[in-house]
Amino acid sequence: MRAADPSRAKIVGMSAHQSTVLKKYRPLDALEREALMLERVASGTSIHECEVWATTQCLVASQRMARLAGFHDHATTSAASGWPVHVRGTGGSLVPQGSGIINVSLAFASTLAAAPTIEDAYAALCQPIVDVLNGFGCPALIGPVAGSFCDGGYNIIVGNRKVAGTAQRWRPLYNEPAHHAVFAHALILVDADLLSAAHAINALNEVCGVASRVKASAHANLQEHLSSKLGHSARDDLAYRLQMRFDEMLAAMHRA
Amino acid sequence: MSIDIVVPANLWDGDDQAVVTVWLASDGGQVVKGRVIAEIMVEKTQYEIAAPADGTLKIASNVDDIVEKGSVIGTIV
Repeated sequence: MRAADPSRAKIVGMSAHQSTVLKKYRPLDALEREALMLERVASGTSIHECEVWATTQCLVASQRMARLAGFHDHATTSAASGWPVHVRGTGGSLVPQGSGIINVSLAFASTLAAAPTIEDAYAALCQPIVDVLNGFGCPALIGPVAGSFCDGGYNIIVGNRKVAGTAQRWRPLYNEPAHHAVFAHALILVDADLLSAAHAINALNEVCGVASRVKASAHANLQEHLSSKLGHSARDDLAYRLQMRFDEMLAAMHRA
Repeated sequence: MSIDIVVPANLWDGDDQAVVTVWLASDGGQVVKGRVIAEIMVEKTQYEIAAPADGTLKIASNVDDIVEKGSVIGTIV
């Protein structure tokens, strides 16, 4: 018999309301919600927001990639093969989306923290995710992973493979242009189809003339590491824990 | 008198370079203080740059140019 895991017991005991924390949106609706989050913080309508969500299968490109010659024609071809392409506001390169992926969208005013840098904002995004994973006994690190999609210095890594990618957009606060609305996004692989995603990304990169190629083996699904610790609905369980941890962090940021 | 459009020197800690990804106003065009006129990208972060003054934009760094922290990417005259 295995020893009881207190964190697991908490999740099993969550209410019906809590279990619906993982919002599900169509891709364009999700991207619009992200844009509105940033806009509300920039305009001072809100000072911080966080949402945990999922969407249907697609690829999401940065605006920079969307300006490449022929991008929209190639996107149509990708859509015909089951991977419609949408454009996001954050930086980086192509990423997959789908039902096996959980997203965390976080927005806050830089006035909440002392002169945050881009690195500070990545820490605010990554550390709660690392905390949740560590709480499950799953040691997670932050760093680059060669061959992963949209690689950068702030992936979340388990077992030398990328389990989450991150990106940001900053906008000046309309009433205090010296400060910023910070929007930070994390894409977490829970039980995604990594082979299909890598194939779709490489296919679009190739026709768009983007040199980088991704390897499915550079990534891992969290379910591989947490299957014995998450409940029947792994995505809902994880989403609940993430939302609680980010809410705690934002509350602490607000009090500071 | 001209006013520089500067990549903030304290925006990031490391030695990374940024890239100018878009100008939202034309070289020689009129800009309004506070309106976003350009974006740079560094470490997968799109950073919007607002016009520091009203006036005529003179672009110094074009799209895809590499820029450092503290770089002047344009001026407003």
